[in-house]
Amino acid sequence: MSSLYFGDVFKNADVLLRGLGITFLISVGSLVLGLIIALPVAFMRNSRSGLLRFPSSLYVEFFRNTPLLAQLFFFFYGLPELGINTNAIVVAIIAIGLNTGAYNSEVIRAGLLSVDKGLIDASYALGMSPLQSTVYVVLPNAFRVAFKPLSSTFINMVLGTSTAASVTANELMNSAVVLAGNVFRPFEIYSTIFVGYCLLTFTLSFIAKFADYHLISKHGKMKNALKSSVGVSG
Amino acid sequence: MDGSQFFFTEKATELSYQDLIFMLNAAGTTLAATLFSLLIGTLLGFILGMITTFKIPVLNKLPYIFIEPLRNSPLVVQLFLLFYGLPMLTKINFSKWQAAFITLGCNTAAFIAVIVHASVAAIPQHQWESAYALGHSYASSFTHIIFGQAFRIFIPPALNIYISQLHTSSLLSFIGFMEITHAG
Repeated sequence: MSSLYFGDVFKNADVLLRGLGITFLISVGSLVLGLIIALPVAFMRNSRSGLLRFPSSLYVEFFRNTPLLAQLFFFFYGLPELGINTNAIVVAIIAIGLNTGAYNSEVIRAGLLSVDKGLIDASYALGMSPLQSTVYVVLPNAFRVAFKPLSSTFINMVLGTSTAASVTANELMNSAVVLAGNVFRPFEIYSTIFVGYCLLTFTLSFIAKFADYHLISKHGKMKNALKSSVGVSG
Repeated sequence: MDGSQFFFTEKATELSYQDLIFMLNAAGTTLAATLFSLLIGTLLGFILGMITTFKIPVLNKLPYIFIEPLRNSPLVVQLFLLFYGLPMLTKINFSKWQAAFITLGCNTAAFIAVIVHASVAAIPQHQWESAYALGHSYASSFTHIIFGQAFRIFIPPALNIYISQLHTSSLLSFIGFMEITHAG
């Protein structure tokens, strides 16, 4: 038993901040990877051809129905047996990116399905090719619907990066574990990163809400741009 | 080279009957931990969620002090704070099972509370007003009119949370809890 003393935490703040940096790196890397994967997978899952639908469904169902921790272990301990050398941070980005890609693709797919059929027909009536209709009509509308759930999967994913501590990626959680072992003040250190994670996600959700309100949903430029590009009034 | 090759093949064949039993035991542990903490979480979450639906100015915001930090921080951190952090500062010393139940349970409770709030808020206001007009009290209109409708909205997101908590229970391996990920 000892009394509360945060001095050691502040003395070693650089370790935690470096960990926060790595957490940020993993989050941004996984976000980019997840979005790059999610869009084609969403289109594949919506396609009429079973040849495209089957592999994408397999991917999505596999990554949505197994724990992230098991996926991380699979990539971190499984890939070296195939002769591929792994780096913890790269593996974390790949595993978390694939995981969040599966969730994102479901969100984007729902967004694509929510686009009004009449809008697509109208774009064809205006002489757009299927590609033009997808790029100029379907995608902006789908993105508008999908933005909020996408931001919430992103926040979940940021919390999920703490799982990467298990594969020795030295992000915030792992550096906290190491620090707790060094200075032997687990309560202070874990409560600091508890608050740190909360602040991080509150900030992210505030940014997401702000962007959604001002750029996307209500008074947004995108909505007006859409109206003028499609020619729908009201 | 040949020796190491042999070593690895022998290692591979070792994975057999006993290991299967071991894994099944661990799977049982996962299930038990998850189910029990989901039970705790649902009850606690229901109480907290109900408080947030009351129209009492300060009281209905109080549960968010509990809910928001739990929803916005990783389960691992909560687990470590409880299992490694708390015994350093106080005399409270949780066993692995207790720590697992409390963290997973509270975490589930936070998510369930938000779903309960959302599903009660999703019921149109006129349902309440009609109930009052028919002479129901607050409690009576809730149990007889609102609850049934809200419960139908509550089920799908709650099942999502249950499944994701089953996945999250793999994080219990961090404190040496012998569940299926740790066993594997």
